[in-house]
Amino acid sequence: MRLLQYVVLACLIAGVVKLLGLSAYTGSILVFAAINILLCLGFYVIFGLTGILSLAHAAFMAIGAYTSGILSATYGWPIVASVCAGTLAAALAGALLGLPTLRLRSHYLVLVTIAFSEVLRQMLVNLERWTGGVTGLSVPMPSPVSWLGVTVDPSDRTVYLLICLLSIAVMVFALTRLRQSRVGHSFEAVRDDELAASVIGIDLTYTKILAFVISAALAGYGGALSAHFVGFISPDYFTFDVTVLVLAMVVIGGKRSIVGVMTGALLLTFLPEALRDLQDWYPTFYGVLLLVTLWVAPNGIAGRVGSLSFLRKRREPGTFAKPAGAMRP
Amino acid sequence: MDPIYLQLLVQGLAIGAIYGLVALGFVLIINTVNVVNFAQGEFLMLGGFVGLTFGALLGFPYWAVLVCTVIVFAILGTVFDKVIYQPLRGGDFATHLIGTLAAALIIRNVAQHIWGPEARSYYEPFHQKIFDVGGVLINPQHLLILAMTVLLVAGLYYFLFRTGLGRLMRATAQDRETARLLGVKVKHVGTLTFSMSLAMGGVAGVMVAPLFLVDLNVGFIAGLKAFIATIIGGWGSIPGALAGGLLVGLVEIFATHFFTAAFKDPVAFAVLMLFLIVRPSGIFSERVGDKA
Repeated sequence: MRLLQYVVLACLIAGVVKLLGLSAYTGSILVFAAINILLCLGFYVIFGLTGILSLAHAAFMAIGAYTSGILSATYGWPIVASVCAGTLAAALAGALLGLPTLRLRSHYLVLVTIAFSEVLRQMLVNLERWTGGVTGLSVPMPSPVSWLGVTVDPSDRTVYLLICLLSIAVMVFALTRLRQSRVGHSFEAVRDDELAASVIGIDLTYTKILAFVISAALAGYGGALSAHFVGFISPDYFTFDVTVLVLAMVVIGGKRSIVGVMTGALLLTFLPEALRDLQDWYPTFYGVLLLVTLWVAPNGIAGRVGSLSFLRKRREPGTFAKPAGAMRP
Repeated sequence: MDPIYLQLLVQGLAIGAIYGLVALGFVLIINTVNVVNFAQGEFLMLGGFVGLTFGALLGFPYWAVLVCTVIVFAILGTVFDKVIYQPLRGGDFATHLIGTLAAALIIRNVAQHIWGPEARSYYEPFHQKIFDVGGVLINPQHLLILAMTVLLVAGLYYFLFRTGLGRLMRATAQDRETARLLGVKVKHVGTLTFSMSLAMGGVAGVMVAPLFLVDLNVGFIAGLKAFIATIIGGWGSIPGALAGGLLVGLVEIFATHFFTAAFKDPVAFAVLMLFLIVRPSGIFSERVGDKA
């Protein structure tokens, strides 16, 4: 079974990391890479699969992180419950943002989602009573969880990494299945031609909101995981730049493929570590990388690799290029 | 009437005029090449720094600072057109958006390396003088912004409706393909549009510098406001961009007065949502027949 393979792979990676005994620093980078993959998978669902450009990813992360952080820091909820609550809150916010934006297209939608994230970020700064304002909020280290006599201590880096990797395994499995399902096909139909999709009986309202909810839930889950891992959250962690970074990962890796967005997330997480000397120039670096990607490989690294001649036969059917000029106004 | 309201009115109109100028830059580019330029706000930020360099470091008089800024940004506009827009020509909405976002990232990072990360003290011609006109405190910088905006918009209208080049630009905006068939060099018109839009953003940046600090982060929020102004005014409408800008400026200043500064952006956002629900086509709705 596919899921089992992924889970075994996740355990293997975590096991190798444990055996190698990587430094705390390297361990952290790995956890961040895993969290970025989760964020990118969320962005993939809404942008790559459904074709909706929503730039509120940082806002959904913030909702997940703050809900989870406040519940565990102020009200003492256990980590599992608070992370679930954070994910649900983000999903709810996704549905709420999805509703009024159903009729909006391209630039209107982009503006509303950006404005939503900016207003939310300012509210996090201003609602000091709950969020701690600009100074941020300390999130306690997750306490060990016991269930059926097994004790798991998430404050251990390797265990945390394992949790993230298992989440990725489950999500990759679920999204692969989703993509091949009726729902996934309706996502892609909406992306390729909204009018045609509605004519053949796809419920646009339901489809778009579902895409928003899945995307927001993943963002919220990633946000909550990073909040508990870092142990501290502040509105500065959820600026528009974060959304742009996730967008860059997805576009550079390949917005149409799950493997692609994972590649993009890994690449843009590890590159700054490899290019330490470029640290100050990093935004320029990934801006240029983004532009070059748009120039030479509009579908990202995965799209480029997928179109190599010797791999052609393996290309999935149904991903036809749109006739040129179809979208021109 | 309480003189404070007159004071707020002038202040709101001045800020609104700045948003309007940035929004005009948006609209010109949207009309001619059908691209939403997300880097437009960054040029406001860059204008502040360029003005600071010419004015405070090189000691130019104010008019010379404005002229030099226009020249610098006209050149920058040509570069922007060649490097960012031309290679992505013919792409869809998302491609252009991501391209200009990448440009914004690069511009901000480069500006940070040239001028340093901290907000700079501003450069201004009036040395913070405030006039007291019958109990109404007037900042001459506000009046300068309003006068310059009227001048720029009058100049833009003259250019668009009274000159041959302006006619070419309007023709391209109305129907790109037909204009090309009739021999308009659409590509060059695009380059010219980028130069004009950037120059407008740069001048707005120089003028607004005394009101805000010259800061790296001013571009994002100003660009967002100008974007809101563009939608409120009516997508692609030149008078709409100005009206939308003024409206956003006024709403912002009065919201700051009646509530606190913390509410100014949420209130501007609320106005946007109201417009999108009640009148999505904006104040001056886009004439569909004009744009095939």
